Amino acid sequence: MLPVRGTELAEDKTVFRLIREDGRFVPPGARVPNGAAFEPSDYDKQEAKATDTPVRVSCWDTDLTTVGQAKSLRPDRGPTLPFGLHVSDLVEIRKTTESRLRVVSDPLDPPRGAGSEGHCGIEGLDRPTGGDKKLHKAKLDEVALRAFPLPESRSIPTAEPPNVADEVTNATADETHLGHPKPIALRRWLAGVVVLTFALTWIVMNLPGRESQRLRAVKLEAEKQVGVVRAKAVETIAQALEESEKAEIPPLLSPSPSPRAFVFIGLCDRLWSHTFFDGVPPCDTIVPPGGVIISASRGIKARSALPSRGRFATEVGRLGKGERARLVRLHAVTVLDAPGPHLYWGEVEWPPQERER
Amino acid sequence: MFPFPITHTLLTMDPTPAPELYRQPDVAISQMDLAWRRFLDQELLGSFPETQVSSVLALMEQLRQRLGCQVKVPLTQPTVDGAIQLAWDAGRHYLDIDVFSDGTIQWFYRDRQTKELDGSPDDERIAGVSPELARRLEVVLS
Repeated sequence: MLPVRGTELAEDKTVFRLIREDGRFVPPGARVPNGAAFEPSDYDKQEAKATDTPVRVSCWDTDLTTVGQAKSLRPDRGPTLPFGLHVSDLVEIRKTTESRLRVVSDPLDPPRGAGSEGHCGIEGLDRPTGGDKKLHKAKLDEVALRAFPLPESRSIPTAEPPNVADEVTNATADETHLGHPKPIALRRWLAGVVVLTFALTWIVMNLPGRESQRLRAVKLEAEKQVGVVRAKAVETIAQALEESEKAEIPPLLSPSPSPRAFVFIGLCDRLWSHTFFDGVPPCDTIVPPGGVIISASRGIKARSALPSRGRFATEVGRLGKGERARLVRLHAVTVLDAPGPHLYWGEVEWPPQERER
Repeated sequence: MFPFPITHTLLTMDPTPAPELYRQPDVAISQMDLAWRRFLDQELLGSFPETQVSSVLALMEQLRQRLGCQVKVPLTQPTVDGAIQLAWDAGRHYLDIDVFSDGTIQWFYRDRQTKELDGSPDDERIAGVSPELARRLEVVLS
């Protein structure tokens, strides 16, 4: 049966909300989503006004819509991640915060495709006129705390497995509609009772195990997603490092003529894990007196000083790919106290005397 | 840990046990900072005014001056109000700061254990880092 618009969802239901994946910087260990992901948008408010309904934040019933269906129904939202919410959790929050919080059916009208009927709305997430902003944000924070990552592959609306009990009941009804079961019907009825008993016993014995298996699978999938997010973060950092020369941040230090310039050498953790130069001595040794000749493996800017407070100093020139310079010192430039690769800059004679390739 | 001093002024790579120098605020640039700045540059600058993004940088600078470099790079994201939100979540303690296009801010703090709430007054935007905000952020980062 299709859900009726505005009907409150039962407490045993689970809904999910699609939250934008991009446009957000997530440092390692940060919790996503936070309360901001549940704040009604201007669109939500306008729609509520237009339809004369309470402000609703969009979400989907996991029993009626898959994550894939929801994504295809909202292609305008860009890349998104699904986060689940148990309706019972929202009911619990409602008891301690305010009475408006509830999840209602809000099927897409007209339907836009499979899964349209599973669209729902969370009411009570908007701040009432004159309401205390801190209480409002606390409520959003509480909702965000209850959200959990939902595996993308979760596909709930599958055909229900044949219900043995129903089949038995139906057969019995068909064959005993006269009230006097025939012998064959009686045998079938007895067989049905036996099957039903076995089925119920099996269900009772296996349900907790299956549920825990399912939860384990959900947890594993969630951990996998966390791993993916972490890997992405590492990738972003590596990319940032590679292109750190491109970051044009106004220099804090005023340019000063100097016979030395500074170039970004690379990343090192006892051994060079990434460097833009050939011939660089090991990072855990002292540069020999008189320096060493290093050769740029790509074009790189030379600056008047080492970066300070996260800002790059003025550019004084450039070393082209294959051009050489004399490295006189290595500088580790980092504030991280965690072990791992550190950023190294080199002090080179400038202008380089060894410019020939 | 490396057995040499880590400073931005020099370093001859002479072996010296100086792990505490890693914490010097002047030293400057962390890998996470770089990634964060890149995000501000490349993703937020497209959809927010330059002044607003600069305000975010300036705010972080102020916070670091007040609290030292233990101010970790926050979760950074747009809000539905057109602000750029910086959020720190330490489990029990949560704090976020919304930075608006005129450089003003609104902040919110919550102690999830005691349910204590704090923040800028309702619908009032403030300029700069108030002592209360600095104190609350210190708690979150401690």
